[in-house]
Amino acid sequence: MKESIYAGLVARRILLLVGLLITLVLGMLYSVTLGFAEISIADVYGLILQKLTGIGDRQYSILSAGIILQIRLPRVFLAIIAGISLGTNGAIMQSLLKNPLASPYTLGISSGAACGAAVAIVAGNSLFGSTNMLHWDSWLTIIGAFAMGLLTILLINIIASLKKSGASTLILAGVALSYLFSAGISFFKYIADHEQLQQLTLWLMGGLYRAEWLDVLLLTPIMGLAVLYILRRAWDINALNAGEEVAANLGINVQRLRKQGSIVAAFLTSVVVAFTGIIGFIGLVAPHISRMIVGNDNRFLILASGLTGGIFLLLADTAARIIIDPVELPVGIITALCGAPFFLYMLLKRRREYWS
Amino acid sequence: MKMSCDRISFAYGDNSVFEDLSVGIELGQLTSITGPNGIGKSTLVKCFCNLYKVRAGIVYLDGQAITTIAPDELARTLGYVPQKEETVFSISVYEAVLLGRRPYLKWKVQQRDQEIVESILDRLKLTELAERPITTLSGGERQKVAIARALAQEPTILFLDEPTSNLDLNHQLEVMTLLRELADHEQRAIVVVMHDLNLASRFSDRVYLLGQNGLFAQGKPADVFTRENIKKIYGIEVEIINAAGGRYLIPIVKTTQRVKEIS
Repeated sequence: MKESIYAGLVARRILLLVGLLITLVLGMLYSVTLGFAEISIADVYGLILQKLTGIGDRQYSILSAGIILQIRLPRVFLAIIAGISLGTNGAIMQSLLKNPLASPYTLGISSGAACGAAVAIVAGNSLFGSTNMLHWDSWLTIIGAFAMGLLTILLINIIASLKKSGASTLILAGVALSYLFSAGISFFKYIADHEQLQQLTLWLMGGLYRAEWLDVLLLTPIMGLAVLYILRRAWDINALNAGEEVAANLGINVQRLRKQGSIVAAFLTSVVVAFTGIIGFIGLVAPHISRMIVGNDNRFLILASGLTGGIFLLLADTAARIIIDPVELPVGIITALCGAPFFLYMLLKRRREYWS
Repeated sequence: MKMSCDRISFAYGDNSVFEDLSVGIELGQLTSITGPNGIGKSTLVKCFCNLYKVRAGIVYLDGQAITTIAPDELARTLGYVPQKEETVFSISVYEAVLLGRRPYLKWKVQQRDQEIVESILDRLKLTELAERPITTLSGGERQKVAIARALAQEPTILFLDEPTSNLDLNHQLEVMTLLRELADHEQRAIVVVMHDLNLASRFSDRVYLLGQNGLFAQGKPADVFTRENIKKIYGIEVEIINAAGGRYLIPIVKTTQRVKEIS
């Protein structure tokens, strides 16, 4: 009878995680059937099955095959991976900084990456011209955003080492860096020509329209490693929640945990942001939805938050693709549009059980 | 096992808290650290637990300098209950106590961990509350959860920073009786920071009284809490009475009009 307390707690949470996973898979299956091109559901699944198993000899049109296999599928996968990354990062940043308002962007990574993208778009466009826009330019933007994301992490790290810092120092340093990079972004907007400005604005709103399999291949292992690292630290992060001194008494090097954890999360965020632009609110809202669903034990919360983030971004991106036929909306608009009211609702209705 | 600090000094920046302080802790005893506000009682406990690095001197655990002991091993030997918990994201009582098993856990919670947590919950009469979020508990219940977590570490030495300061009379006695039991029946060393000198008198084997220049007096409560010592350290007159099987310090208040009216 007694062992049922813990076993019950765990069983319930595993069940909820499985539920989230099923939702994600169903969302994925539904999302690939939606789009401007009218391809029947039977054709969509038939095509994918044929490609996966190699069985069957039905001929599908090259156009349908291209749309499903080279456009919709990589995009669905990128949405899921980016969503999982933002969700897990949001959860870990909130726990590491002991702040329910923290998100993957709290340390200024998004502004840093945006500034890098701005440099790349403005300088790169001048260098290469706008003729091969889809390739050279877009990779240059990715590299620029990622490099500046890394620079932000480095700066945060230096600030953290200069002063034996607590959570609030890190948060304030992030705020300061954000302003600094915003100045950079404004400057590049000011000197950009019309086309560059349009490109930059689009990037800043976030979107998955450039998704290709290469992105998915690059992001998946990075995301996998980062999530594994974070999961391995789940107990330590749990202990930190009880206070820095309690955590230290439980054998945890708090400074090191905070530093390593935020570097891993920031690294993953900069990679994702480099590919997708700035997609807001997922990293803030997904952890809170997950806290309500599975509670605050990070062993479950991190996975739940990742899954919730994946579901959220997948649905938002699907909506972005189909909501105004045939124009595509930047997904950042949708996530903010749904995320912000939801967050306000949570603030007003929040119960003390979730965070104090 | 024995624990002591040998001529330790600590300072916040340039503000020295204490210098050349030497204090010993014995197993099977309840030791109280007392003294006025801001004198460094909590700081001393944190130095003992290796939460603060001493500026000079050495803290010894079983003859070994505490800084050379592996963090997990230290966590299995020393338990620490802070004055106030600062949980941001609420967890259930069970999970809060389970945290104390962190130094023993890899990732998976073993049967033994569960048994230990459940027996502690049972002992502290917290089983009923096991699934309640800790942020919905009363101050007394929260305090017991914090102690339960520290006990789940199975520590030989348990430090508590003002464990009774936020508790009502009933909970004060409950907590102190529990601590007394831990010292008497399980041969653990219990070290508490205390403001309530009467409670300290009644439950401690040994008390340390800290003053401006470090340690002012140490020994049995009756030898340390004398009228002269209290006058010197706290600057107030007390009367000492023996009643209900204990020795009590009654502060003598300068009688004002208002007090006269009440009495």
